Amino acid sequence: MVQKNKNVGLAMKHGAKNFLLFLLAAFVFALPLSAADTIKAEITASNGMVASAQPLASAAGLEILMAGGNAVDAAIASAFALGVVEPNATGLGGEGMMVIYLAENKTTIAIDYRSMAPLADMSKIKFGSEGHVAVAVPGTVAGLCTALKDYGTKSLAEVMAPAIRYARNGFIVSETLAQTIADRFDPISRNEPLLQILAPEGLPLQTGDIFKNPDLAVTLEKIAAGGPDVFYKGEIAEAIAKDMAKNGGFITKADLAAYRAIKREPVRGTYRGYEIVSAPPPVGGISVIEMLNMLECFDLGSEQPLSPRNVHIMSEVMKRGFADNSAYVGDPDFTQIPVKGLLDKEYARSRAQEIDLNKITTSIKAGTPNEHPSTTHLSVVDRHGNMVALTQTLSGFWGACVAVPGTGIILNNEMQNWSSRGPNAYAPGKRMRTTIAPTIIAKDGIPFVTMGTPGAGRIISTMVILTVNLIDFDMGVQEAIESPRFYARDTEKDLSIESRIPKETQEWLKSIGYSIKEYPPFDLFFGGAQAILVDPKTGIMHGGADPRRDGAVFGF
Amino acid sequence: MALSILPIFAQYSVPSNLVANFERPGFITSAGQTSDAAIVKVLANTRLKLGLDYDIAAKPQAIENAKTLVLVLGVSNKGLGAAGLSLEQEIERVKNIVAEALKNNTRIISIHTGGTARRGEASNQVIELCVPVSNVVIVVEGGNNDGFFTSLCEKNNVPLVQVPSIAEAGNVLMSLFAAQ
Repeated sequence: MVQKNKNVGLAMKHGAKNFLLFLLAAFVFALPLSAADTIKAEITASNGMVASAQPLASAAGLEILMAGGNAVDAAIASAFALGVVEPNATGLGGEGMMVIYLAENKTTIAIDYRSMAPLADMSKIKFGSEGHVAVAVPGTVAGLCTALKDYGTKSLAEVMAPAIRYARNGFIVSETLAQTIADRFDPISRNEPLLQILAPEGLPLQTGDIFKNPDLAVTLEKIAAGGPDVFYKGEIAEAIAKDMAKNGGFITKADLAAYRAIKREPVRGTYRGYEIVSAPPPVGGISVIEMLNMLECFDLGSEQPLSPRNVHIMSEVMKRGFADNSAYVGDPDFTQIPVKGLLDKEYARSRAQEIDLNKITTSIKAGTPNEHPSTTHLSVVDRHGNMVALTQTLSGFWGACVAVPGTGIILNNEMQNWSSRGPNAYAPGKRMRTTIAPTIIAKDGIPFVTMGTPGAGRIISTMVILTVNLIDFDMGVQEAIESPRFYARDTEKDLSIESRIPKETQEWLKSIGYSIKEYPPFDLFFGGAQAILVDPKTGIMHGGADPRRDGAVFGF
Repeated sequence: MALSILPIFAQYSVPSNLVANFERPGFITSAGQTSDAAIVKVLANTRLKLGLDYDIAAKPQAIENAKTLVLVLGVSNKGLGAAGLSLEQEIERVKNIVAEALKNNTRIISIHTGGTARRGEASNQVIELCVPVSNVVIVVEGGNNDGFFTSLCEKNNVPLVQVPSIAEAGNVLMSLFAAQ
């Protein structure tokens, strides 16, 4: 709770009356654990914990937990708040997937609120990364409201109150947020409603500026009062459809009215005796488990985490997992996905046997599983053992660089994620594949880790690295998050690495044929993971947040 | 009138022979695909109402009629990727656009607003390409912490105006253009 974060003070500055009290309480009951060699302290708490990509979003969840809410209530509060304080990555115009564990009846549910292609035929359209054509029907409001209605205990108005407060009163722009505005300012500047939000005085918001979005506060208040129908069938739907029609977009009121969040069975696997429960297709959990199955064939723990051999093995595994992901994963309502085959240990063993320990594989094709039928993260744990792993996204930062006039809503650019052919080929009403993979790890049937990350194509590889760090190398949760990352994919010639990967490992990899693309020591390219681990023996919660982003953990 | 917008406590000065010395039509493009070019565009057109044309990846023919070319300096890998250009292709584009400007006697204002994030080996390449042919260079101070712009401008006898913020860079830009 006592992380060095400069933004927390803002909420106090802007006058939430009970904010000071709950922060003081959180300060008393949550402790930073001094972990050697980590930038951020690992946070511990006993009664509840929230880890998210932004301090105020974590504070929003903690506020709800401390008011007696459960993990789902807190996750929904944090998710709505993230849409305000991390608007480059998530929001009402985006989408996501969450995995929920309910301790009372020991069940795990996935809620798919991925965005959906409009129902009109867009097969002749070239989907870019910006503009109204890039926008898919948003799922965030449906997903969050479904989770709250079915598994929460608080009202929508209660859990949305912090988000509304942040939108109206404003928050301090971090260096990370300012950089994302600068990086995409060219397309941002082409959309006047978005420009008004991000450059209210004619210049892009800079680090330290106050970011207010009063139109979004009003929109959130309308949803809090009227529920999701306001967004999908009411005046917000009207505003979105009107803006689409005016600007060549395809989303209509009928598309919005037809949108549903879908409850799905999570994908499940095991890794060295631990149960892995993750988000099902059309997202990336299945590939996380497939890669872990392959890694189980190697004794990674006998060497240092970033030894040449370990990085090589994991890179080869990532490439095979990504090749299979591209070949087999799509919207399960449109495509037969060989889920059992891809998760089969024998299949993984056959893939692992392809790996030469002293040689890079230059060309990798998808395997043949024995069956042919088919971006921000937050984690919450409450005192009852309920857990939520939730990953949301606008696809690219600032999505389509389109804001809906008068609403403060920034729209996604998910339509860029279709493949030209295969299981992820475009179809009207279909949900596109992405790599998000909110995941829960259990031991002996008791979940004890909730984790996830943004990071586009790096999500799956980062989730695999996190799991290996926790299980094979027994790292603390903060150490696991901060550990240097790397990323290999079948379709990319370079092995992307953070520069902290040991030089001797880099040299050996080059000697067997790797082309290395080096990134700064901690780079946003590799995502911004958040995780909470509950010690099965003591029940103490350990939270970690990623210094690659503005992550923060609060507990009490 | 142009001078009147400069704050009286400004810690920088614009050489008097340059004030109101640049004419329109003017054209803004990047040299290195930095999105800082879009920031300069919004600054110049939305805030200062200068009415300059803009294309982050303009080709030489686009600036044929321009009397002033504003080059926003800095290499962005994301920008290059978005434009589908390699660094080598971008440098070639910048060379061509500079050649077109010199051929037409178009005057050149180079501006660097991106601080240390828009410095480094690749950015320095485009800076070294553009500064010597510029009539004036404006730098937001973080980008010149190592004196790179100072020495390059001195060596090529190009006036340098160093400002503390992007907003002040806008004020300098405003002062350079003649009233219409």
